This record gives sequence, C-alpha cells and structure tokens, in this order.
Amino acid sequence: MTNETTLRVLIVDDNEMASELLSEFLELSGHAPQVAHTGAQALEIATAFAPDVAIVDIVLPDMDGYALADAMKHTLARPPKIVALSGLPKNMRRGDHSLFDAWLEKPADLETLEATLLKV
Amino acid sequence: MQTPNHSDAIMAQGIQFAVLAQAFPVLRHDALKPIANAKLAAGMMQRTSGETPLDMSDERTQQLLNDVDVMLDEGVDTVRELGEWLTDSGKRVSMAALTRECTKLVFTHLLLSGKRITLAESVAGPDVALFGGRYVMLAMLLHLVDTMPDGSELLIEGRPDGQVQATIHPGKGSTLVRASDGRGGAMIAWTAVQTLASFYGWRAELAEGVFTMALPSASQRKAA
Repeated sequence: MTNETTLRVLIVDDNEMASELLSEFLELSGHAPQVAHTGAQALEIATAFAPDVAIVDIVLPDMDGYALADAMKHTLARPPKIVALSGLPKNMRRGDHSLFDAWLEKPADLETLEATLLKV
Repeated sequence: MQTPNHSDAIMAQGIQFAVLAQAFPVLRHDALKPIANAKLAAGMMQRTSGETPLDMSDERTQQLLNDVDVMLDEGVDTVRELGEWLTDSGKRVSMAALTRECTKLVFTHLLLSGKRITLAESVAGPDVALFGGRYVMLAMLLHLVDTMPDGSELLIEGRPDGQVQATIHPGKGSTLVRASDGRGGAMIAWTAVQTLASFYGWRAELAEGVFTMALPSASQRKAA
C-alpha cells in the first residue's frame, strides 16, 4: 500500500533499530525518509533535506527533543511539521507541547503514525 | 552507624517510593523501547506481506522475525530488572556507573528548564550496593535538580577521599526555558535525602554551597 502524497520525512532517533524499521516502513508507504541519530545530525540533515515532517524522539544523546524542535523552528528556513514519537508520556512536568504539531507515544500504531504524518 | 529500627525502615521505604515515582517516567520509557521496536517490526512484516501469508523463506521476513525475537528477549530482561527497584538482589556497582545511571533517570526533570548535569571523570571510588546506593544518589540528584535555578549547571565530581560532591553553577545562556506547571519545588526534601543516606550508611552534607555524599565505610559496604 502506498500513498499518493509523498512526504520528505526526517526520523530522529538514537535507537538504530527503531529508526531503520521506521525508515523502511515509510519507504514502503511511498514517502522519502532520512535518518539522524543525534540532534546535531538532524539539524545538519534538515538544512539540506528540507523535510516536510520530522519525527523526533525526546530522549536523544546530545540534546532533548524539545531543544531540537525549538532549534528546527527557529533556525531552519522552512521548518518542518514536528511529530514527537516517544516512550515518555505527554503530561510532563512543564507540559509545553506547543513545539510539536503532534505527540505519539511508543509503541505507535503504524496506521496512526501514517495518518498523523498526512494530517499535520 | 546505629542499627536501623523498624520505624527507620518504614521511613526509608516511604522516601524510596517517592524517589521511584520521580524516576518512573524514564524507567517506563526504557521498558517500552524494545516492545515498541518489536511492534514496529511486526507492523513491517504485515506491511511487506500485504494480504498474502508470510513467506518464511524470504530473507527479510526471517531477519524481521529474528529481530522481533531479540527485541522481546530484551523487553523481558528490562521488565525483570525493574524488580530490582523493589527487591535487593545484592548486586554491586561502581560509583561511576551508579552516578551515570542516576543522572539519566532524572532526565525528565531537566526538560524545558535549561538545567544541565555535568559528570566529571573524577567520579570513581569503590563498588557500592546497587539497591541502596541508587536510591540515595537519585534522591540527592532529584533534590538538587528541582531546587537549582533554571538555566544552571550541576557539576558532579569525585573527591580524592572517595566522596562525591555536587555544586551548582550559573548557566551559559540557555534560551529554551519554559515555566513549570506550578508544582515546582523539591519533590524530595534535603532532610529526606539525609535520612535515606543515613539509613544505608551514607552521609549527605551541605556546607557553603557544596553538597557532599560520603560513601559507606568499607565495613558498612561489606555488610550492606
């Protein structure tokens, strides 16, 4: 099954297994994914790749997902829509989720993930 | 060290429960990780096979099945290890590893605060009991992280005498700071840190802005 809409999707997750599987899934679904394992790498790739959507984990080795989302929104010429995909629950202490266009909790249902990418 | 009595034990358990509750989001996150990966791999198999039955001779299917097996084993191990927060299995751990683990467990308390924790390479010292040591170190970190100003840095260093010391330093201009939800303040009071430390033979002290944690003596470490 493929979509008629092809999105450039940047996957940011330090877990190689998770990011590779997600990348493969998105390719099968007709999208164009790229993978970054750190926040710094994500910003570098995003500058050239200009993703439509970034799927961002919150726990990253060099910066947290909030800091990365903030950097993307403020430094990229064309900021992507940002979807948080994390094992952390949404109701964190400082619960400001305005940096994200959607929040999905792991394990995410693939159909839900795909629908979210097309919706944001 | 005085022999802890029953009421000391009850008090320590209460503090431990409060500490565990604060670390729970990260523990939950880590437990979910392999399960989430397995679900992703299963979804992939479903997607690649479409409406036809799985082709077990297909190399990619075999690889995904193997990945699922590994992930589920990893998930089982992670869940089993959660039991060590409630039952002392007698495991011991180096001070460096203990401090690293506890620093990771307070991750959610740093989000959107601009606060940072820096671990100096000097944090070393003898192996300590994982069960008590983890709660004591985590209690201290939680107290410090919750009370330090937004944007500041917590520097943790080892001292030549084996003690661990923590000092708070002004931040370096982090801009990503969002107001907390008003439930701020320390979830774990300094007196609770001291009570718990004392229960496990550690000693927590604060003098002139320097927080120190003295490890149990060698004889106490053996007994612990």
